[in-house]
Amino acid sequence: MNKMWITLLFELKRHKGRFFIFTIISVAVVSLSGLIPYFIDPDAIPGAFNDFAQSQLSFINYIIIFGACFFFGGIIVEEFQHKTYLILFPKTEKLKLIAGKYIGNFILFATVLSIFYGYTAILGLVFYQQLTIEFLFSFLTCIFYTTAISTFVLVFSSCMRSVSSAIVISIVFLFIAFDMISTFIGLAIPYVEPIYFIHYHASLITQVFDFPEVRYIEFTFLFHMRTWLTPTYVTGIIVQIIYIVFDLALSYFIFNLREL
Amino acid sequence: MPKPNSTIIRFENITKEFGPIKAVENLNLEIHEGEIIGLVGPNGAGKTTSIKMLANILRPTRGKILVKDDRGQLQDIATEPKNLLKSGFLIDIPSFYEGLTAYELLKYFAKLQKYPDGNLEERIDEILKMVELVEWKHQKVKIYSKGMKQKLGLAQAIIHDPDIIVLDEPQTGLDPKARILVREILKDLQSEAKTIFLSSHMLYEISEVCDKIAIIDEGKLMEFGSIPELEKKLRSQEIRCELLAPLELEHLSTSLKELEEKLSPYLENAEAYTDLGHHILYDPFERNLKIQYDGKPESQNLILETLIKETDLKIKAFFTPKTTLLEKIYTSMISKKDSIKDIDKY
Repeated sequence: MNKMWITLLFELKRHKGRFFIFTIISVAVVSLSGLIPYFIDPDAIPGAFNDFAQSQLSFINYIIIFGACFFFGGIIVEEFQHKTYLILFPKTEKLKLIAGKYIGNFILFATVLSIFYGYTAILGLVFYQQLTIEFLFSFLTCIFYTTAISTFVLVFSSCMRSVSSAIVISIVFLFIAFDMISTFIGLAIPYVEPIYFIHYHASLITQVFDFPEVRYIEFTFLFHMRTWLTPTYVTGIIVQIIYIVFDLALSYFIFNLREL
Repeated sequence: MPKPNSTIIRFENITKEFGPIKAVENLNLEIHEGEIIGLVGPNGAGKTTSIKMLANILRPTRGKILVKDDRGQLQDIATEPKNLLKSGFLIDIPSFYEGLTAYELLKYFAKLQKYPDGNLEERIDEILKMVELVEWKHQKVKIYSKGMKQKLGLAQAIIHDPDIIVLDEPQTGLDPKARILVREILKDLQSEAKTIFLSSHMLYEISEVCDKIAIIDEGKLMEFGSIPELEKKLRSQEIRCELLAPLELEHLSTSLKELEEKLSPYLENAEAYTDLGHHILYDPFERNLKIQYDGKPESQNLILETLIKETDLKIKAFFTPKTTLLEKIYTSMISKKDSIKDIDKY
């Protein structure tokens, strides 16, 4: 059996605890935002399935970022931090080991996201007796975005000294630093769309249900400002592919350079 | 005597630099099939760095390490790393994924190294039995003691039945009983004609199992050879003579003086234990005579003959302690280098 495949299966088994925790969180989020409000007041839920799905998915970016940081933050750095590389590297090619670990964790996390979407779909069928093609597009966009985020986290995993620092730095970048920088840039040059920030492309997951004709909102308060809502599909796909390719190459380069 | 073309590992002019520091300098070493080689040196001598380069975890700054492939050709591990997959490594204090059991880990490691699935369960049991961890098979590694982890480290190195076994300080953290166990395992592996490359601080363990010793210090190979070969480089050697009856302490100095006179032909060129020129010491607790003689093989027999025929000592055992010898060789080589360094200062 291929060594990458052996490692992949091993990772599935190793991280089953993490998988169950994120599955419980996902089920809880969907239940809290979709099921419980229905029981409290059945009229309070949106009138159409797409609106319901869009509101359900408003939390998914948090799950993607936290999940990606926890599933992918340790892939490379844990080997060096805990010195398990001393046992594993002589047994297999480094690239096969990391590829197996990455794909194994990706399968687990993609399954968590599938459960999130699956549960939302079940609620949609119960409440509206229908599903839409936009829901499927949203799911595919979500998986694609998760791939881009996971490779971004992998870069930190390749260069940090501990798993916790890789997770914290990834969260800081994805939740705080990018938001602050894009706000400043938005003030300084409001007409420039922040396509270079990976988290900006998360908006496609929800905007796909009702894609806006004008992709920004303008207002004046002391300054003239423009808030960008979503990139175009084409831009989103191209930028995320660039992120994936660049991040994977950079992670591999740093990982290969790393000698401890 | 190694067979022709039996070289299985060769270090060729290996140098490893970490910035301005030379961890290993121009190391040349040849290991033959079925040999057990001991790598000895003080802390920071370059032992672990050498082993990490052999495991292809560190890249040498210069030189290459060749390992025999399936066709019997020596190949550079930098270009043919797959030749290392038939080797087993234990480097440093082993760390494992702590949330897993010994069984789960060994199964994964064995599969990575292509051990046949059909025999895997029996092999895991066999190895865990060998390292006395079979009762802990399904316990998570996080509850293992340091010594148990070390034994599991040895188990993972040999689980796939490798031809070459490389062990870095395998006895670190082990209690005396476990050290004996590891020594026995190494002897068993030796009887199966495995090639073993072993680093250790424990000179006794090394002297008990190794065919050849490589003494390394500050990254340089000081000496390489079998214990008798290295011994020839020393001017003297020690004999121990265990007595059945103790010597009378009141007349001890007279008795030792008489003994020195009788054995003087074999002690003349030997190093003395004390500044006063004593070549014989007596340990009353161990009932042991230590005799520093000229190191010639024929002198050993003549000393024994003299002790039996010309004294009334009742001899229980007469032997050359390997550890003491290795310690002597080791300290001699290291201090020789230090004295050269001191001379260089002036």
